[in-house]
Amino acid sequence: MKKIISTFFLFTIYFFSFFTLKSQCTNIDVLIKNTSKANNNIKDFSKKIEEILKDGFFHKNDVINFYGLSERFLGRRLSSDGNYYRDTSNLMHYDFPVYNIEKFYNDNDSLSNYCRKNNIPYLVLQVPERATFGDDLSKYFYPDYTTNYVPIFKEKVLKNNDLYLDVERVLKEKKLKPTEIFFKSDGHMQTTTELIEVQEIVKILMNKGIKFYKSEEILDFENPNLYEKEYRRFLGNFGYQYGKLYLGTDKFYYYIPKFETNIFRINKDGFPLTDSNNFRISMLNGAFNNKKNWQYFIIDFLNFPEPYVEIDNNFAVNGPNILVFIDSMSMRAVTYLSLMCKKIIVLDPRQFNEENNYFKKIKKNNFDAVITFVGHSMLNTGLTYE
Amino acid sequence: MAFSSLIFLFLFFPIVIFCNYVIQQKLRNFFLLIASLFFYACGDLKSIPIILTSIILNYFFALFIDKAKEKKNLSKFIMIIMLVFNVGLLITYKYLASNISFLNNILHFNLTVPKWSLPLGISFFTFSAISYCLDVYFQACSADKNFFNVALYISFFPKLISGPIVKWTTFQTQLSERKFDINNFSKGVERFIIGLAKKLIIADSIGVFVDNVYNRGDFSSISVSIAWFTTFSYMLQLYYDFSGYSDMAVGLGKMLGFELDENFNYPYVSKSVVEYWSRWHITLGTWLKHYVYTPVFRALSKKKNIRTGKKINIKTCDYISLLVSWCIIGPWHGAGLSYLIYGLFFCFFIICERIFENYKKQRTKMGRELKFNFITKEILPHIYLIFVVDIGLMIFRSVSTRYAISFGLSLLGLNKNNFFNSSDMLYFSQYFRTFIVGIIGSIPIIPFVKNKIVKLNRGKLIFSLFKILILIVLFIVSISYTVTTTYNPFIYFNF
Repeated sequence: MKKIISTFFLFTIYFFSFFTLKSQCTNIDVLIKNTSKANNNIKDFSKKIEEILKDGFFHKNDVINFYGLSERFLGRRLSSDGNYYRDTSNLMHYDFPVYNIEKFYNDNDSLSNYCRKNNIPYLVLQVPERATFGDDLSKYFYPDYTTNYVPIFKEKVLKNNDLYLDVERVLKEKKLKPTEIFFKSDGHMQTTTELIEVQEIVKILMNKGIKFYKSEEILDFENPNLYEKEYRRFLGNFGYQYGKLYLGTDKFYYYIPKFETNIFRINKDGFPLTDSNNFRISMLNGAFNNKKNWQYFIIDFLNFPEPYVEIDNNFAVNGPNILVFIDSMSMRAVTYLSLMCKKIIVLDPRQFNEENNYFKKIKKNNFDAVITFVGHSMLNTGLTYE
Repeated sequence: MAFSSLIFLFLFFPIVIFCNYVIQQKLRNFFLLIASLFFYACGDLKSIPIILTSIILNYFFALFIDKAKEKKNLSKFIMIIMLVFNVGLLITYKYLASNISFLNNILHFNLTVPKWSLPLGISFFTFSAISYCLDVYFQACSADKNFFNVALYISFFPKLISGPIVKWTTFQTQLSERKFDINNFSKGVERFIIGLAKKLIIADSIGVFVDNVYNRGDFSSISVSIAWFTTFSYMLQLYYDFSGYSDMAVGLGKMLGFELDENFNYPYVSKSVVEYWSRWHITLGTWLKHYVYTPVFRALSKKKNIRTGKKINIKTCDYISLLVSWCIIGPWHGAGLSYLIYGLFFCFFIICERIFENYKKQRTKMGRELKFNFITKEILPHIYLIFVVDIGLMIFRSVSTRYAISFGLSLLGLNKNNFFNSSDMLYFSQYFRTFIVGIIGSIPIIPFVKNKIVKLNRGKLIFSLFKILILIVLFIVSISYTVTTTYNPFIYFNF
């Protein structure tokens, strides 16, 4: 009987040791070569080996599921060092930082002025926050955001006579559950929710006289004749690290157009970012490389994170030319919006700095509309740097 | 290199265990010495010269003391030099920098603060070295002429960084006569897995919450209920962290054929501070009893009171010896004033308990025995112990005396803090189950259940199967924690 536990113990340590080292031996070879040249001491060396073993541990994703199971057994909702929380409906939450919101308010005002001067419709879209969908955690972790920033900002936008789209209100009207709107294992919204955003944006801008390319047809996302709906199991950026059994997996949908598309993306210097003009490849790049990997699929849209991306739709020659300010919260909304627009310039202010001011460079373009997607991570940014 | 790190579990240990069984028996001690020094170097390469100097000098100190045993004054002189060296080493590396900073701050001196870091495990290997030399001095054993044996005793990797502090006399016999059998190896594996699980699943998990509260600095924002929950959680964290390490050390020792001393025996079931310290960090307590308390007590009991000319009262000798011992235990853990207060805090309660015991004995002699019922004999002493240890460990955990006072005020609700905040429920719900599992594991419920099951028909088989299953699950889950979580060094690595 006693032999069983000893055999199991020895087998386990030698098994994982052998296969982990086997898969990581190239890294360790490189590390040994580098370390012998550099002035690193043995402590740094052992730390580096520890990192290599951790990153390349044999069947890491499967092994960490046991961590997930144990955490579930112990009833823990905390999955990180005190910043991430899971609520009673299984959604992950982030403990918000303190905002310095003045810069964002001022920049939004100057953007509003710019649009007014140039007679461009300016739409401010309030991205919904999961905490406002009635779970208990909101009062602990979102007090400033939900009670102060959002109402004050809304008041400012309406005072400027800008267009305002409260997506939360739309979703509540549709009586969707929080788990249908958001991923469990990630801070982002489900693809289906972002598609509702697209429909609402088009509706508002069409009221302002903007004509979208084949909008009626393209907005019919649930039409099986127009779109092929595929899904992957998705872990989010928390789940990928902390085990799928702990967080549970989400279904992550792709809507693949069945109709012909001709879209490509270029960077700030005008160089193409993809080698194909097919929507599936140029806009959802990387999504189909590894169907079994529990990756963080948000990055598959718009080559996130980039400060500047230009999307040209060669078929939508009569469509509008739109400037959007986004963070990762609306990557997919903009991706599908591009099917109906001639050109979309996507700016991510989180990547801006004083030298890297893309708005200054493009403000002379003739835009048909400007949209700012306001999510919590946008509030700590500046939009225009003027 | 912590025992719970991947580099130890999947690189260092497989190599050591393989080589230990493959190489010739006469080379095994030398091999283990090299492995131990490599293990130490991985954790603190810069301090390798310090540990080597300590090994070499203490080897010669013991030899000289042994040679001079016929000449009492000479051997005493060498013993004093040995103590000055070892204690000096501790003071220099552990207390000098902080004391100079303290003097610079308080008295506005402009002394240069040395920038050396605390050598890993210095308190443990220095105490081992002193123990060896003092055993030779007290003629409990003779000095070992084999340098590698002494070096291995001081630097043996399972006990090097956080103990247990094994006596030379216990270790010496095992250097030549070690048991290598599957039973012993399996017991070692069991202890190692239990220790690993204690550290990773309980201690580190609770540690996230405890650190979250203690690192705030401003304790006025925490409610009374969270303050108490934090201190009780820290009791569990420290117990599982340190006893987990000790279990792993004992387990590794067994796998390599050594028997290391036990360091813990369910300390939280104690009903007095005296009993608690006989169950908590047992090897440190034993060390101090042998090498500090007893010699001081003996020396005092021989001395005469200057005023009266009579011998000093036995009770007074006892209290003074206790005070001296506790003035060492506290600062042994660290240089801050809070550690000294921690030591004196426990010393105060131990002396009170001694006085109460003496009072009870007196009453019994006089025929007026104090009578206790179940509550006053079993329940109240236990509650008293838990609260004393809780407050003691709160002082221990606080980074400074100011922090300890502030936290103490929060415990009492005197820090303008609420009794309960709305976010408290979140913390309770997050850690409640871990807390309960921690409490269950800290009382001897498993031995109790084992005894009950073993008495049943086929009980032994059922228990063995159940145990194997639990150990396998714990080992797999522990590996998943090492792969997933960030590195958390053992708390006692700091001492």
